[in-house]
Amino acid sequence: MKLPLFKAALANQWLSMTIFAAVLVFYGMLIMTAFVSVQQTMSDPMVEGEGIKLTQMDEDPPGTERYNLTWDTEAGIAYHTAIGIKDLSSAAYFMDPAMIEGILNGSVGLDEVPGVTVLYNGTGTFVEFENVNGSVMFAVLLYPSNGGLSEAIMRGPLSSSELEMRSAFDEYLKDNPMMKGLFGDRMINFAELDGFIVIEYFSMWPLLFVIYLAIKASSSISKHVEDRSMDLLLATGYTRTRFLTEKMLVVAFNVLLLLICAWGGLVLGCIFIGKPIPVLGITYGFLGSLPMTFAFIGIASLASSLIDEGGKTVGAVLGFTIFQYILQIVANIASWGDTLSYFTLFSYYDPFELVLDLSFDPLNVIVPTVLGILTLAGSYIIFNRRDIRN
Amino acid sequence: MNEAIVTKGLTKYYGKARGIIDVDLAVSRGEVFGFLGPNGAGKTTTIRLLMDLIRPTSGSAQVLGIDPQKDGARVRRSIGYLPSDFGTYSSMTARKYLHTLLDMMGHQGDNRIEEVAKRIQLDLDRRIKDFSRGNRQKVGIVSCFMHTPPLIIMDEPTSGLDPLMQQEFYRMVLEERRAGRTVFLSSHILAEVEAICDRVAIIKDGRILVTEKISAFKKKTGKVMTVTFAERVDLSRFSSIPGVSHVEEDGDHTLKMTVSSNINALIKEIARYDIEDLDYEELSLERMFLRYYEGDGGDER
Repeated sequence: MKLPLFKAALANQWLSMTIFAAVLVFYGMLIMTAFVSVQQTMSDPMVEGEGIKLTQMDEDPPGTERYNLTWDTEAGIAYHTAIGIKDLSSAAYFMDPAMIEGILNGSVGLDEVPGVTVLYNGTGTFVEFENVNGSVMFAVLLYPSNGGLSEAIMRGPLSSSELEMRSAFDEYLKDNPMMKGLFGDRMINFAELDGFIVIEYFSMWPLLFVIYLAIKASSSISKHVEDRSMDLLLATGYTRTRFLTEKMLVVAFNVLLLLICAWGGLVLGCIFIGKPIPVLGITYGFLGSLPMTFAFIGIASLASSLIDEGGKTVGAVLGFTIFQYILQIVANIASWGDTLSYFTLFSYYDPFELVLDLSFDPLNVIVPTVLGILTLAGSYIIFNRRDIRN
Repeated sequence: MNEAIVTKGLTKYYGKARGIIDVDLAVSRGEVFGFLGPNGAGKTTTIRLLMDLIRPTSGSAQVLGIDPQKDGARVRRSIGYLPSDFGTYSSMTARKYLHTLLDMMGHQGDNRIEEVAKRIQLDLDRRIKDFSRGNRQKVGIVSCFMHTPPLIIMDEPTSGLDPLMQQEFYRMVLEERRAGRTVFLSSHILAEVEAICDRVAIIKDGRILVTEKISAFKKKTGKVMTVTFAERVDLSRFSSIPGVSHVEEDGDHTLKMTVSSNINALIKEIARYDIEDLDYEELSLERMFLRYYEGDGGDER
């Protein structure tokens, strides 16, 4: 089937399309080069919480497993005992009631408990050690000057399986309300490649993608009414349905091109910095944005069928899109904002789930797709019924 | 069906605003039909209804035997259409744009792009955005003629064309008529309508005032006689003659009047006076048109 209007419309916008596609390629590449800088600020693998912090140190000598454990103390504490636990379940297995009583009254030392290694006893607040016993959990007991173990305060435990590298940006991400607005309460490791991509790339991607395509879709009808080019095009015997279909095909072509260029940009960026390419993750991330984008395209097309002036249509659609984005941010930040997420299409795109977990919520596909179909159908009906005024 | 265009009681309101009211037209195949009226009279509304670009409030239309409301695409595919003002894919060359329109029509085989462009001196290889208003209009004209449609509908076609090109355009329209094709054109340029149209309809405030052959129209509306007498004469003696109207003084001793019939009685009355000069000419379409617009119609008394 020949598509002359599709070809003509593409030819008419090739410059803007090419520029935007090229920008996306470079955007992906540039973002990825920034990952190198982020890595330079990375800490050793560490885990912290409950008042203690466990950091994995360099292997010295090679092949050894060395850690630094630090903890917070408080007033009235006489000394601290840091322990490593090889396996909690085995420790519980070997502790009979008499042993527990002995531990509590001080007649049994902690180092006598199976699976437990005492790493430190003293008044200091850190210990560096080689994990010769293969402990996997670490805790610190703070003994008050006048009490035994039954009066002790426990810091931890932490699991060495939760060790991860952190960057200087993590604190910024945790504390910045804008970031919370964009990502909700999800904790992302900025120092890992996929976490970095989610935060740095996929936080902006839906806005970039949607704005460009919404502009394209919003000019599909109204621009031609405003500049009066519709008359000669329809005078060829094109039905309005075919006209709109070919214009929507142009938008679909833009979608395809932008997805390929954006995907290619990230892949090239990964190759450029010599990192493994999280192909599935970024593919999910891009494909997952399609339902939401489809809904915005439908809304833009509907606006285009209702409003005669191209500039007004683009303005209205842009305003609506940005308002939706702001709504999403407020919904994530404000304690009362949960309800708002029902009113923003951006809440139907979850890059964390897509890129990091390689999964998606079916509602995130169904709701925007249905909305897209309804609004697109509406634009066909309205365009077919309306007057094209001169 | 011998009519290329038929409308019955065609009415269009834009909300409460008047477009056209009860427009009845019958344009025969093979004729050049002029649609006269000033801006805002309803010419463009009528044409856009025929093209199914807008939908009527009431009434019906048939174009080449097809109801535009039922199959607007087929109507448009069958005709050549030039809107009064139009946009294009202006970054394209005229040639590329016109071929795109042909492709959209599904037109295969020969076309007249080169021939028509040459006649109206359109450079097909320039980008449309570099064209002047007149050259853009030429692109529209070529698009009307290029696929040799049986019916051409044009809304103020010579707008922006220089006089030489206007003459060439008139010749092209007359050639279409000779080839048996129908041309329906709206205009507010009376000389244009007078030069090329077989019949004309005048529209005022959305209503058709009159539809006539140009020749019958002229006959009906009469001729203008200008008489210069040797002395001042009584104007009422002439205005009371049946078939003589619009008697007015044009200088001290000169009378100007419209004569639609009863010329014998008029001559006898004039012969009673010494005459210095006499001129008898057809009423220009412009004057006829203005008379309709002044509200006293063409039926001369």
